[in-house]
Amino acid sequence: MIEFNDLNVLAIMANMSGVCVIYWDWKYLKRAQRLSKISGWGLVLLALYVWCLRDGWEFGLTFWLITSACSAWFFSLCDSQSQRQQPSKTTDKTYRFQILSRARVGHSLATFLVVCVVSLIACCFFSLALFTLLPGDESNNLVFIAFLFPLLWALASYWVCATKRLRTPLFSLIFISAASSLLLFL
Amino acid sequence: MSVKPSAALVKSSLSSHSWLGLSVALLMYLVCLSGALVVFFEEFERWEQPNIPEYVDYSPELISRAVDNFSQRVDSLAQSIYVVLPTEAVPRIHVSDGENEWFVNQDGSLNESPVEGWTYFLKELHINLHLPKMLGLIFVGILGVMLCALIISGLVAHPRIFKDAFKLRFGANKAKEQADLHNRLSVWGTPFYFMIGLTGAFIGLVSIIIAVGAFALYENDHEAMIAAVYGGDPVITTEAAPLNFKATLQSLSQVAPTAQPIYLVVHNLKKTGQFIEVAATLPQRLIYSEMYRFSSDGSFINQQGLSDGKAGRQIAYSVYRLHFGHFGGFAVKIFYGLMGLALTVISVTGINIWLAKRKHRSYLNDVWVACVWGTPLALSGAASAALVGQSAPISFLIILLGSISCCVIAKNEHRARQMLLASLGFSLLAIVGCYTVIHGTSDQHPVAFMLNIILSILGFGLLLMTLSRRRKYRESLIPPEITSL
Repeated sequence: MIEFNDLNVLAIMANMSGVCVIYWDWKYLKRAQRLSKISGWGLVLLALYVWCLRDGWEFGLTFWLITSACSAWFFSLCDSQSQRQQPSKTTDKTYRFQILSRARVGHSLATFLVVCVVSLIACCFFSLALFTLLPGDESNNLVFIAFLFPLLWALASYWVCATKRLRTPLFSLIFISAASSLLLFL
Repeated sequence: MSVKPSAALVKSSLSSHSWLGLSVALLMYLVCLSGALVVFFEEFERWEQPNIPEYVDYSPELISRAVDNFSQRVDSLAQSIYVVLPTEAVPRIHVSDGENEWFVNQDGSLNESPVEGWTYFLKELHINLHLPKMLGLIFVGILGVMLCALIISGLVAHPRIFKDAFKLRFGANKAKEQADLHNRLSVWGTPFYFMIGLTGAFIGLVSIIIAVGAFALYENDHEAMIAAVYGGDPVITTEAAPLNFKATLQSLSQVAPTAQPIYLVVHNLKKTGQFIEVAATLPQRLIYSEMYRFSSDGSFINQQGLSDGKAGRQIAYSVYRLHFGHFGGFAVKIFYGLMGLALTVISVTGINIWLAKRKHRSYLNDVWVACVWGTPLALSGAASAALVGQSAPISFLIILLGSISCCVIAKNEHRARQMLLASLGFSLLAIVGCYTVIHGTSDQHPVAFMLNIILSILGFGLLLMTLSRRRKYRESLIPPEITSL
């Protein structure tokens, strides 16, 4: 349970002051001073150590991630150059009823299918094929591939959407699926 | 060696980021918003059913009476009966077999059943988007994958990540303001969002790996594959004997003195192979629980090894608490809620940037405003509807579709936003009004009282904000030479 005791306060202080030094370095020293950079990140890492010391590494790491993000947002907010709100300019733009071209719709559908179906099959088969090859404990390997599968799928989706020619990822993913299924089912 | 990505890579990553973001924006927004709220589902459940007896102290005799009463109440005994024990977050006992469920009074008698009201609707919205269970779970899991893909593409597409580390320009220009907000909220929260995305994808998609893996490697035996990770059930062949919960809890305190029981399961009640499982949390551990097994007389059999077994097993059983933020008390819940809201804002600002960069407006602008501000309105409308006994999902759908129709007809984003914000303010106050009429003002449940206060403040705040924005908008429309007079 989070209770405000000395270590707790120390962890938050180290986190805040670490991010503060990083912010100071960014704002006024234009990221030129190595000392400020090292001390800033050092304090942030110290906060991680204190969090883990206090709550164990599982809770500590999570608390550290949250407090680091919140500290950074706090300094971003402090830095925000508030100006008088301008009226929305959206009304200045012309209103158009947009119809997508057939080619664009076709390309979007094809991309969607490659991302959602071909990538899914390729990544799932590849992860399971990898499982059959991995040395070590069965339980650990199964959990490893259960995490690897979504991660690979995310990378494949990124690749498919980033490329201009859909053919390259499509054929590569089909090849991966075929090779993996050979290993799995034969 | 430079790690700076090439301009071509940045360009293609940005295109990938836009493509992925636009494809899943609305669903991502729904899942993020419902996820940020669902962190507090325990508080919402207590708010929704404030008349359930609450206590943290319980005796083994109470558990015994509750199980007896439950077995008498149901037509046929299920394979497992769950007795969920009180915690600080939910100081209520309920007993269930997965199909029937009742809260338990302090004397062991059964109280009313948990309602499938607004909180249930919210949980289902986050977990499976109200689609058929498994399909919805996989669908939401895919959104977890897309979140990871968005994070990866976003990081590669952001070469000024260090240069703009704290840059936040409010009010400068719509596109810049939205881009800064999007980048600052996302960059600093990246590790947390990545963890949420990956654990969400794991929870949603593990069934696919199990289905394909069992077919390919375990002769289609799903149980065998699951047992390989989590461990199997003990094989008990003895005849059923009277259950001794007192001895069970005493044995638990000897086996694991720091363990905090959260629920216990009676397997094969009054049948051959009857045994008791006690799920208990351990201090400073993210695992959902360790499962301790006892025979009917309370003697210790074994533990599942979720806390001290293989690393994979421990990791797999830690994803739930890590994803839902149910560890470390209420402060962690608040931070998880804030991080969830930040991710919701990131989803919204991503589309806002795209809309602001377009040279023209279209119905998409109006639909997006309606979805962004209509969803909280629909959620609050669903809460009021659930309070008066109406269907929360249907109310949600009607209000959301109504908001979209109104905004598309109005073709004025600013006015539509103001209208939806004001409606949301009124709707939040309406929830408090309905609640007060139904449950009264005197002797209100402390959690319900706090929630109603928060809802009232939010409601009034939104109404004041709408008025102030309206005035500012009107002032900004007056030419500068007139205002200077």
